[in-house]
Amino acid sequence: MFKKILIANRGEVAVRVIRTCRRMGIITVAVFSEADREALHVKMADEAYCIGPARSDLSYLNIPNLLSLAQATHCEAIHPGYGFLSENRDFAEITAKCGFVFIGPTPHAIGRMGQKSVARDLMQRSGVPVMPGSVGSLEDVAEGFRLAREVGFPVLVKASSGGGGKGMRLVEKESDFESLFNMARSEAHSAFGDGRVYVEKFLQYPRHIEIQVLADTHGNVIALGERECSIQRRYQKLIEEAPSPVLTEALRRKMMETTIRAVHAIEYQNAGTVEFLLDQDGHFFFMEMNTRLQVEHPVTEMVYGYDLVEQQFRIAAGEELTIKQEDVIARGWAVECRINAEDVRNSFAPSPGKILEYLPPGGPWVRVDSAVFTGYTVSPNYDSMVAKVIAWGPDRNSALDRMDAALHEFKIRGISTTIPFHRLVIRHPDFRSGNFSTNFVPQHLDALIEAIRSEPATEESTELPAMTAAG
Amino acid sequence: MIKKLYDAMVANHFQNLEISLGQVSCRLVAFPHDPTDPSAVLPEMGAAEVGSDDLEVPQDSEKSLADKLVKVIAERVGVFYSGSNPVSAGQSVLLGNVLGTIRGISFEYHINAPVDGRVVSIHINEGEIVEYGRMLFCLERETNE
Repeated sequence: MFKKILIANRGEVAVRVIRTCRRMGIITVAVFSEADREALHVKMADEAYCIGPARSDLSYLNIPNLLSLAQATHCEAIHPGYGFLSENRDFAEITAKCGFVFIGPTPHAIGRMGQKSVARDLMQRSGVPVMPGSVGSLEDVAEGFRLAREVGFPVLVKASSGGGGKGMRLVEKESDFESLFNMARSEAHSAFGDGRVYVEKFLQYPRHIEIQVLADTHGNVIALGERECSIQRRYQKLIEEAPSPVLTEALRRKMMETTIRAVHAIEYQNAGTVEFLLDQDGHFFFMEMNTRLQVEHPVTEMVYGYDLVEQQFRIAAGEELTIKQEDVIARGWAVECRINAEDVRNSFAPSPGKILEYLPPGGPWVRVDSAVFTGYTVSPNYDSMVAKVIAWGPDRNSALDRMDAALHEFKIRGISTTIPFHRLVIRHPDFRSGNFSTNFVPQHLDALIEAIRSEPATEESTELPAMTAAG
Repeated sequence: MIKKLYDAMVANHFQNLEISLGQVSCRLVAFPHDPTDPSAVLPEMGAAEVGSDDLEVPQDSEKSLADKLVKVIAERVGVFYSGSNPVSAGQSVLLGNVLGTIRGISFEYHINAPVDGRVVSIHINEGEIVEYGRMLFCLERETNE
């Protein structure tokens, strides 16, 4: 096993990786930008070094500085976390060429899965159902239009190099196609430096279901069940759970077997997630593969009992998986809420600033993954997630009840957070029933915001732009 | 002569000093400034970026003297090497002289003197890890006064 590693990330994921390292006896080197001098990951790591100014492209994305530090501190491996350089093929490749182990898949796999149309083709050839649509990238609006008609409106125009909803447009009718196609192309170009797009069928009531896999370097692949991630706003996941309320055991087995087959076919290694859209009739279609640790990995950890970061280390160190597929048994239910520093009343506008009071929930079956604390200043330079609350229960209702209680207990003053929004969703009858799709948030958003606005102002929310949990 | 008197005055925390030598008399007043404001101490850095707060500047130093101090800050991350002719405190350097090298993966970055002047202090040791923004040297800018 590695003796010393560098964590090329910040925030809660850096803290998450440090925790596993500490348990495994691995020395950690943290990196930070000038804006993160007081960050928790800096305090928690065995060593920490400033690698650049606040701007991510000059610090957390600065490959020469990261690798020079890894060399200077005698690290053997680099954990990229999620975001930043985690799915950057070049980084993985240069890391390996400089003699460090990249804790993640091979550069080749990252590169192939990062090109959405290439990934789609590969998956299709491996027997994974894909959404009807263009096979490769489209350069021409006329070709796109012909294909959209063939597939049938509504269609999605998506960036070939994209993710997170950028460079993506829903086209509901033929007359809108040209303008929306061009918008997607120009957004893709500015966001990813690659204007290529493709077209695929759009499902009316899809659910986002993803399968977690672990694949070692000895040819063993296991699937750790699914995560249900349909509660999204603008393609950003807000609430995730494991298992999904709608998967039958037969469908779960079918999705896992399909995924394992594909992972074998593409010779993937390390942890990864294959994302699917599931329609109301139980048909599932490949969306994309995330070649990294996912933000929502804790729900899988809570239900299956394995530390996914530890498994990443073991695989990267060349160890053989000791978990057999037959050992993978779900126990109970877990749900995660991503708490963001955003003002729900003001269209989820970012709410950076100093946290005057931070009182996280606790007690049995509640886990909080966070990197903030009282006195911490949420920087406008980075993403707005301040905490992940994860609750476990023997069944879905008890997990959700525990989440509700945890959110009630969670107090953050000084900045606005999405805690009240999460509480309303957790209590919403449609969410409780399990009968929802990715349309849930768009459909209920106005009513949810109105409900938050009509809450009586607490002392905190009057004096400070803070929103604590609804009473 | 007057500068030496002024330095002695500041060092001994005098606000005013009057001296009479025969027919010549002189009154010196310490220049007031906010010691917590780094821009008042080091108002102009030129090529040497401001960033670190660990430069020991006498709190009530003469502004013109403080103006001459130039911090050399690391812009790259790596390991410091002083080279075959290491600079030492008190040594005079010319603009562009190599004060040391930061070696990282696939690069060797020469730290050049940003001004003509004198090395006041060295804040890094041979083989030490250099992080971004670390103060490496403090120079005193040479002036024609």
